Amino acid sequence: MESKTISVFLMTIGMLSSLCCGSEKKDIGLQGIDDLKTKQYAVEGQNLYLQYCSNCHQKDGSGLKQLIPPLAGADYMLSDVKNTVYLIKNGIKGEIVVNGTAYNQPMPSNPDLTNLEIAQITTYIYNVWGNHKGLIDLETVDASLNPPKPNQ
Amino acid sequence: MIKPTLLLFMVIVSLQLGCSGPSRDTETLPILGNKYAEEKFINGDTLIDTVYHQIAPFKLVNQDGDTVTNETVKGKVYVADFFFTSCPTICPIMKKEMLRVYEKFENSPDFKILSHTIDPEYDSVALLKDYALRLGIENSKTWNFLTGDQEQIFELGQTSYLTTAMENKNEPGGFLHSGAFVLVDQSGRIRGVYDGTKEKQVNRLINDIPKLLKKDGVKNN
Repeated sequence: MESKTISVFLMTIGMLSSLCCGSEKKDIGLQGIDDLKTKQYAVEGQNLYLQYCSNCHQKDGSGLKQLIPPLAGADYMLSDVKNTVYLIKNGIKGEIVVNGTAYNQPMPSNPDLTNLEIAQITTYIYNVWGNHKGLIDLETVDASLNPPKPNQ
Repeated sequence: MIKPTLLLFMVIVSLQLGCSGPSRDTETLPILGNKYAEEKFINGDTLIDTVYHQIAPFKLVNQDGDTVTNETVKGKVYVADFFFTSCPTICPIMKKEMLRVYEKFENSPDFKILSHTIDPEYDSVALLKDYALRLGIENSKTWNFLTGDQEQIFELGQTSYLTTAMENKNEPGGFLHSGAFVLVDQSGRIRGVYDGTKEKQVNRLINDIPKLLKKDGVKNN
Protein backbone atom coordinates (compact mmCIF):
# COMPACT_ATOMS: atom_id res chain seq x y z
CA MET A 1 0.00 0.00 0.00
CA GLU A 2 2.73 2.40 1.07
CA SER A 3 4.90 1.76 -1.98
CA LYS A 4 1.92 2.03 -4.28
CA THR A 5 1.10 5.44 -2.83
CA ILE A 6 4.67 6.58 -3.34
CA SER A 7 4.74 5.43 -6.94
CA VAL A 8 1.47 7.26 -7.62
CA PHE A 9 3.07 10.41 -6.21
CA LEU A 10 6.15 10.00 -8.36
CA MET A 11 4.03 9.60 -11.46
CA THR A 12 1.97 12.64 -10.50
CA ILE A 13 5.10 14.74 -10.03
CA GLY A 14 6.41 13.60 -13.38
CA MET A 15 3.18 14.40 -15.16
CA LEU A 16 2.79 17.76 -13.46
CA SER A 17 6.31 18.93 -14.15
CA SER A 18 6.00 18.04 -17.81
CA LEU A 19 2.67 19.84 -17.99
CA CYS A 20 3.91 22.84 -16.08
CA CYS A 21 7.33 23.58 -17.49
CA GLY A 22 7.02 21.90 -20.86
CA SER A 23 9.83 19.83 -22.30
CA GLU A 24 12.67 21.10 -24.48
CA LYS A 25 11.88 20.82 -28.16
CA LYS A 26 13.87 18.00 -29.71
CA ASP A 27 15.93 18.95 -32.74
CA ILE A 28 14.68 16.40 -35.24
CA GLY A 29 16.81 17.90 -38.01
CA LEU A 30 20.00 16.10 -37.09
CA GLN A 31 18.24 12.85 -36.23
CA GLY A 32 17.06 12.55 -39.78
CA ILE A 33 20.64 12.13 -41.04
CA ASP A 34 21.62 8.45 -41.46
CA ASP A 35 25.17 8.61 -42.82
CA LEU A 36 27.68 8.75 -39.95
CA LYS A 37 30.20 11.12 -41.48
CA THR A 38 27.46 13.46 -42.68
CA LYS A 39 26.06 13.44 -39.17
CA GLN A 40 29.46 14.16 -37.59
CA TYR A 41 29.94 17.14 -39.89
CA ALA A 42 26.39 18.33 -39.29
CA VAL A 43 26.72 18.17 -35.49
CA GLU A 44 29.83 20.36 -35.59
CA GLY A 45 28.21 22.45 -38.28
CA GLN A 46 25.20 23.13 -36.10
CA ASN A 47 27.40 24.63 -33.35
CA LEU A 48 29.18 26.81 -35.89
CA TYR A 49 25.89 27.78 -37.49
CA LEU A 50 24.51 28.93 -34.15
CA GLN A 51 27.67 30.96 -33.60
CA TYR A 52 28.13 32.53 -37.04
CA CYS A 53 24.87 32.38 -38.96
CA SER A 54 21.71 32.08 -36.87
CA ASN A 55 21.55 35.71 -35.73
CA CYS A 56 20.56 36.57 -39.27
CA HIS A 57 19.22 33.38 -40.85
CA GLN A 58 17.59 32.26 -37.58
CA LYS A 59 17.90 28.93 -35.81
CA ASP A 60 15.34 27.29 -38.07
CA GLY A 61 16.78 28.71 -41.30
CA SER A 62 13.63 30.75 -41.91
CA GLY A 63 15.41 34.10 -42.44
CA LEU A 64 13.76 37.37 -41.48
CA LYS A 65 10.84 38.70 -43.51
CA GLN A 66 12.13 40.33 -46.72
CA LEU A 67 15.36 41.39 -45.08
CA ILE A 68 17.30 38.13 -44.64
CA PRO A 69 16.69 35.25 -47.06
CA PRO A 70 15.74 31.80 -45.77
CA LEU A 71 18.06 28.79 -46.08
CA ALA A 72 15.37 26.16 -45.51
CA GLY A 73 14.03 25.12 -48.89
CA ALA A 74 15.88 28.00 -50.56
CA ASP A 75 16.25 27.48 -54.33
CA TYR A 76 19.17 29.92 -54.51
CA MET A 77 21.21 27.89 -52.03
CA LEU A 78 20.11 24.39 -53.06
CA SER A 79 20.93 24.96 -56.72
CA ASP A 80 24.62 25.76 -56.20
CA VAL A 81 26.75 24.32 -53.38
CA LYS A 82 29.97 25.91 -54.63
CA ASN A 83 28.45 29.37 -54.69
CA THR A 84 27.15 28.87 -51.13
CA VAL A 85 30.60 27.84 -49.92
CA TYR A 86 32.12 30.84 -51.67
CA LEU A 87 29.76 33.36 -50.12
CA ILE A 88 30.02 31.92 -46.60
CA LYS A 89 33.73 32.68 -46.83
CA ASN A 90 33.63 35.93 -48.80
CA GLY A 91 30.22 37.43 -48.11
CA ILE A 92 27.97 38.95 -50.72
CA LYS A 93 26.65 42.38 -51.65
CA GLY A 94 23.83 43.40 -53.94
CA GLU A 95 20.45 41.95 -54.78
CA ILE A 96 19.75 38.23 -54.94
CA VAL A 97 16.45 36.47 -55.58
CA VAL A 98 15.49 33.56 -53.31
CA ASN A 99 12.26 31.65 -53.92
CA GLY A 100 10.97 34.56 -55.98
CA THR A 101 11.68 37.28 -53.40
CA ALA A 102 14.42 39.88 -53.89
CA TYR A 103 16.78 40.44 -50.95
CA ASN A 104 19.38 43.18 -50.73
CA GLN A 105 21.10 42.97 -47.36
CA PRO A 106 24.90 42.64 -47.46
CA MET A 107 26.21 39.42 -45.92
CA PRO A 108 29.57 39.79 -44.16
CA SER A 109 32.57 37.67 -45.04
CA ASN A 110 33.88 35.07 -42.59
CA PRO A 111 37.63 35.08 -43.24
CA ASP A 112 38.39 33.28 -39.96
CA LEU A 113 36.43 30.13 -40.82
CA THR A 114 38.63 27.23 -41.91
CA ASN A 115 37.71 25.13 -44.93
CA LEU A 116 36.79 22.24 -42.63
CA GLU A 117 34.48 24.49 -40.61
CA ILE A 118 32.82 25.69 -43.80
CA ALA A 119 32.37 22.05 -44.88
CA GLN A 120 30.70 21.36 -41.53
CA ILE A 121 28.40 24.40 -41.72
CA THR A 122 27.51 23.64 -45.32
CA THR A 123 26.81 19.99 -44.52
CA TYR A 124 24.53 21.13 -41.69
CA ILE A 125 22.47 23.64 -43.67
CA TYR A 126 22.15 21.23 -46.62
CA ASN A 127 20.81 18.40 -44.44
CA VAL A 128 18.30 19.92 -42.05
CA TRP A 129 14.98 21.83 -42.39
CA GLY A 130 13.90 19.50 -45.20
CA ASN A 131 17.14 19.85 -47.15
CA HIS A 132 18.78 16.46 -48.01
CA LYS A 133 21.97 17.05 -49.96
CA GLY A 134 24.29 14.64 -48.09
CA LEU A 135 27.90 15.29 -47.09
CA ILE A 136 29.64 18.41 -48.39
CA ASP A 137 33.26 17.28 -48.02
CA LEU A 138 36.48 19.21 -47.58
CA GLU A 139 37.48 18.64 -51.21
CA THR A 140 34.32 20.34 -52.43
CA VAL A 141 35.05 23.33 -50.19
CA ASP A 142 38.71 23.49 -51.29
CA ALA A 143 37.65 23.38 -54.92
CA SER A 144 35.00 26.04 -54.40
CA LEU A 145 37.34 28.47 -52.70
CA ASN A 146 40.39 28.08 -54.86
CA PRO A 147 40.52 30.04 -58.12
CA PRO A 148 38.95 30.26 -60.57
CA LYS A 149 36.26 32.17 -58.72
CA PRO A 150 32.65 31.23 -59.42
CA ASN A 151 30.90 33.78 -61.60
CA GLN A 152 28.93 36.24 -59.52
CA MET B 1 1.71 9.94 8.25
CA ILE B 2 0.65 12.93 6.19
CA LYS B 3 -2.53 12.39 4.24
CA PRO B 4 -1.95 11.66 0.55
CA THR B 5 -4.32 14.41 -0.58
CA LEU B 6 -2.42 16.97 1.48
CA LEU B 7 0.90 15.77 0.04
CA LEU B 8 -0.49 15.98 -3.47
CA PHE B 9 -1.68 19.51 -2.79
CA MET B 10 1.76 20.50 -1.51
CA VAL B 11 3.41 19.01 -4.58
CA ILE B 12 1.13 20.95 -6.93
CA VAL B 13 1.68 24.23 -5.08
CA SER B 14 5.46 23.86 -4.94
CA LEU B 15 5.64 22.91 -8.61
CA GLN B 16 3.66 25.93 -9.67
CA LEU B 17 5.82 28.22 -7.58
CA GLY B 18 8.94 26.61 -8.97
CA CYS B 19 7.87 27.11 -12.54
CA SER B 20 6.38 30.55 -12.67
CA GLY B 21 7.67 32.24 -9.54
CA PRO B 22 5.50 34.68 -7.63
CA SER B 23 2.82 36.24 -9.79
CA ARG B 24 4.52 38.82 -11.97
CA ASP B 25 1.32 40.30 -13.30
CA THR B 26 0.57 42.44 -10.28
CA GLU B 27 4.11 43.57 -9.52
CA THR B 28 4.97 47.26 -9.99
CA LEU B 29 7.95 47.94 -12.21
CA PRO B 30 10.91 49.71 -10.60
CA ILE B 31 12.06 53.17 -11.70
CA LEU B 32 15.64 52.72 -12.89
CA GLY B 33 18.63 55.05 -12.99
CA ASN B 34 20.05 57.53 -10.49
CA LYS B 35 17.64 59.53 -8.42
CA TYR B 36 18.15 62.36 -6.01
CA ALA B 37 16.16 64.26 -3.41
CA GLU B 38 15.36 67.87 -4.23
CA GLU B 39 14.19 70.41 -1.65
CA LYS B 40 11.23 72.48 -2.70
CA PHE B 41 9.75 75.48 -0.94
CA ILE B 42 6.01 75.55 -1.33
CA ASN B 43 3.92 78.01 0.73
CA GLY B 44 6.76 78.45 3.19
CA ASP B 45 7.13 74.69 3.77
CA THR B 46 10.20 72.74 2.78
CA LEU B 47 9.21 69.60 0.88
CA ILE B 48 11.53 66.81 -0.23
CA ASP B 49 10.83 65.67 -3.76
CA THR B 50 12.49 62.63 -5.36
CA VAL B 51 13.77 63.40 -8.85
CA TYR B 52 14.12 60.34 -11.06
CA HIS B 53 16.35 59.72 -14.07
CA GLN B 54 14.56 60.79 -17.26
CA ILE B 55 15.24 60.55 -20.98
CA ALA B 56 16.76 63.90 -22.03
CA PRO B 57 15.08 65.98 -24.78
CA PHE B 58 15.94 64.77 -28.30
CA LYS B 59 15.11 65.64 -31.90
CA LEU B 60 15.42 62.96 -34.57
CA VAL B 61 13.82 62.00 -37.90
CA ASN B 62 11.90 58.78 -38.63
CA GLN B 63 11.67 56.57 -41.74
CA ASP B 64 8.87 58.75 -43.15
CA GLY B 65 10.91 61.92 -42.76
CA ASP B 66 8.84 63.12 -39.80
CA THR B 67 10.50 64.82 -36.84
CA VAL B 68 10.28 62.80 -33.65
CA THR B 69 11.04 64.42 -30.30
CA ASN B 70 10.45 63.66 -26.65
CA GLU B 71 7.12 65.50 -27.11
CA THR B 72 6.08 62.79 -29.61
CA VAL B 73 6.36 60.13 -26.93
CA LYS B 74 5.07 62.20 -24.02
CA GLY B 75 2.28 60.27 -22.33
CA LYS B 76 3.21 57.12 -24.27
CA VAL B 77 4.83 53.90 -23.19
CA TYR B 78 7.68 53.00 -25.52
CA VAL B 79 10.53 50.59 -26.10
CA ALA B 80 13.87 51.95 -27.36
CA ASP B 81 16.77 50.11 -28.94
CA PHE B 82 19.93 50.85 -30.94
CA PHE B 83 20.93 49.15 -34.18
CA PHE B 84 22.22 49.80 -37.71
CA THR B 85 20.93 48.37 -40.96
CA SER B 86 24.25 46.92 -42.11
CA CYS B 87 24.87 45.27 -38.71
CA PRO B 88 26.35 41.81 -39.23
CA THR B 89 25.87 40.57 -35.67
CA ILE B 90 22.94 40.85 -33.26
CA CYS B 91 20.61 43.30 -35.03
CA PRO B 92 18.56 40.82 -37.07
CA ILE B 93 17.75 38.72 -34.01
CA MET B 94 16.86 41.92 -32.12
CA LYS B 95 14.53 42.93 -34.93
CA LYS B 96 12.94 39.48 -34.97
CA GLU B 97 12.26 39.81 -31.26
CA MET B 98 11.06 43.42 -31.61
CA LEU B 99 8.62 42.25 -34.27
CA ARG B 100 6.98 40.09 -31.60
CA VAL B 101 6.61 43.15 -29.38
CA TYR B 102 5.25 45.14 -32.33
CA GLU B 103 2.72 42.49 -33.33
CA LYS B 104 1.45 42.34 -29.77
CA PHE B 105 0.98 46.08 -29.21
CA GLU B 106 0.76 47.71 -32.67
CA ASN B 107 -2.89 48.57 -32.09
CA SER B 108 -2.35 50.26 -28.73
CA PRO B 109 -2.54 54.00 -29.47
CA ASP B 110 -0.38 54.77 -26.44
CA PHE B 111 2.48 52.48 -27.35
CA LYS B 112 5.52 53.15 -29.56
CA ILE B 113 8.85 51.64 -30.53
CA LEU B 114 11.90 53.84 -31.20
CA SER B 115 14.74 52.05 -33.00
CA HIS B 116 17.74 54.39 -33.26
CA THR B 117 20.40 53.85 -35.89
CA ILE B 118 23.91 54.37 -34.60
CA ASP B 119 25.18 54.70 -38.17
CA PRO B 120 23.14 57.73 -39.33
CA GLU B 121 25.62 58.69 -42.02
CA TYR B 122 24.85 55.48 -43.89
CA ASP B 123 21.32 54.88 -42.59
CA SER B 124 19.44 57.64 -44.39
CA VAL B 125 15.69 58.16 -44.14
CA ALA B 126 15.24 56.31 -47.45
CA LEU B 127 17.34 53.36 -46.31
CA LEU B 128 15.48 53.13 -43.00
CA LYS B 129 12.18 53.19 -44.91
CA ASP B 130 13.35 50.31 -47.11
CA TYR B 131 14.52 48.39 -44.02
CA ALA B 132 11.20 48.98 -42.24
CA LEU B 133 9.17 47.91 -45.28
CA ARG B 134 11.23 44.75 -45.64
CA LEU B 135 10.36 43.96 -42.02
CA GLY B 136 6.70 44.49 -42.91
CA ILE B 137 6.33 47.82 -41.11
CA GLU B 138 4.18 49.84 -43.51
CA ASN B 139 4.05 53.12 -41.58
CA SER B 140 5.61 54.90 -38.61
CA LYS B 141 2.43 55.03 -36.53
CA THR B 142 3.88 52.70 -33.90
CA TRP B 143 7.41 51.70 -34.91
CA ASN B 144 9.81 54.57 -35.63
CA PHE B 145 13.22 53.95 -37.17
CA LEU B 146 15.20 57.03 -36.21
CA THR B 147 18.19 58.78 -37.67
CA GLY B 148 19.81 62.14 -36.97
CA ASP B 149 22.97 63.63 -35.55
CA GLN B 150 25.34 60.83 -34.62
CA GLU B 151 26.74 62.54 -31.52
CA GLN B 152 23.23 63.15 -30.25
CA ILE B 153 22.27 59.51 -30.80
CA PHE B 154 25.40 58.21 -29.06
CA GLU B 155 24.86 60.55 -26.13
CA LEU B 156 21.18 59.65 -25.93
CA GLY B 157 22.15 55.98 -25.80
CA GLN B 158 24.85 56.38 -23.21
CA THR B 159 23.43 58.96 -20.83
CA SER B 160 19.66 58.74 -21.29
CA TYR B 161 18.97 55.09 -22.08
CA LEU B 162 22.00 53.95 -20.07
CA THR B 163 23.04 51.53 -22.78
CA THR B 164 26.12 51.12 -24.96
CA ALA B 165 26.08 52.73 -28.40
CA MET B 166 29.35 53.92 -29.92
CA GLU B 167 31.67 53.72 -32.88
CA ASN B 168 34.37 51.08 -32.57
CA LYS B 169 36.49 50.13 -35.54
CA ASN B 170 37.43 46.81 -33.94
CA GLU B 171 33.84 45.58 -33.79
CA PRO B 172 32.25 43.71 -36.71
CA GLY B 173 30.42 46.37 -38.70
CA GLY B 174 32.33 49.18 -36.98
CA PHE B 175 30.00 49.85 -34.05
CA LEU B 176 29.68 48.61 -30.51
CA HIS B 177 26.16 48.47 -29.14
CA SER B 178 24.23 46.47 -26.61
CA GLY B 179 21.19 44.42 -27.53
CA ALA B 180 19.12 46.10 -24.85
CA PHE B 181 15.43 46.87 -25.18
CA VAL B 182 14.72 49.79 -22.84
CA LEU B 183 11.16 50.20 -21.55
CA VAL B 184 10.20 53.83 -20.92
CA ASP B 185 7.02 55.06 -19.23
CA GLN B 186 4.66 57.98 -19.90
CA SER B 187 6.95 60.35 -17.98
CA GLY B 188 10.17 59.40 -19.77
CA ARG B 189 11.45 57.21 -16.96
CA ILE B 190 13.17 53.86 -17.53
CA ARG B 191 11.10 51.03 -16.08
CA GLY B 192 12.93 47.99 -17.44
CA VAL B 193 15.95 46.87 -19.45
CA TYR B 194 15.78 43.57 -21.35
CA ASP B 195 18.19 41.64 -23.55
CA GLY B 196 16.62 41.95 -26.99
CA THR B 197 18.50 38.91 -28.27
CA LYS B 198 16.91 36.56 -25.70
CA GLU B 199 13.43 35.24 -26.31
CA LYS B 200 12.68 34.76 -22.61
CA GLN B 201 13.67 38.31 -21.69
CA VAL B 202 11.50 39.68 -24.48
CA ASN B 203 8.63 37.54 -23.15
CA ARG B 204 9.11 39.35 -19.85
CA LEU B 205 9.05 42.71 -21.65
CA ILE B 206 5.81 41.74 -23.41
CA ASN B 207 4.41 40.84 -20.01
CA ASP B 208 5.59 44.13 -18.44
CA ILE B 209 4.30 46.61 -21.06
CA PRO B 210 0.60 46.26 -20.09
CA LYS B 211 1.50 47.09 -16.47
CA LEU B 212 2.48 50.57 -17.65
CA LEU B 213 -0.25 50.93 -20.29
CA LYS B 214 -2.89 50.27 -17.66
CA LYS B 215 -1.72 53.33 -15.77
CA ASP B 216 -2.14 55.60 -18.77
CA GLY B 217 -3.64 58.93 -17.81
CA VAL B 218 -2.64 58.65 -14.17
CA LYS B 219 -0.08 61.29 -13.31
CA ASN B 220 3.12 60.37 -11.51
CA ASN B 221 2.20 56.72 -11.23
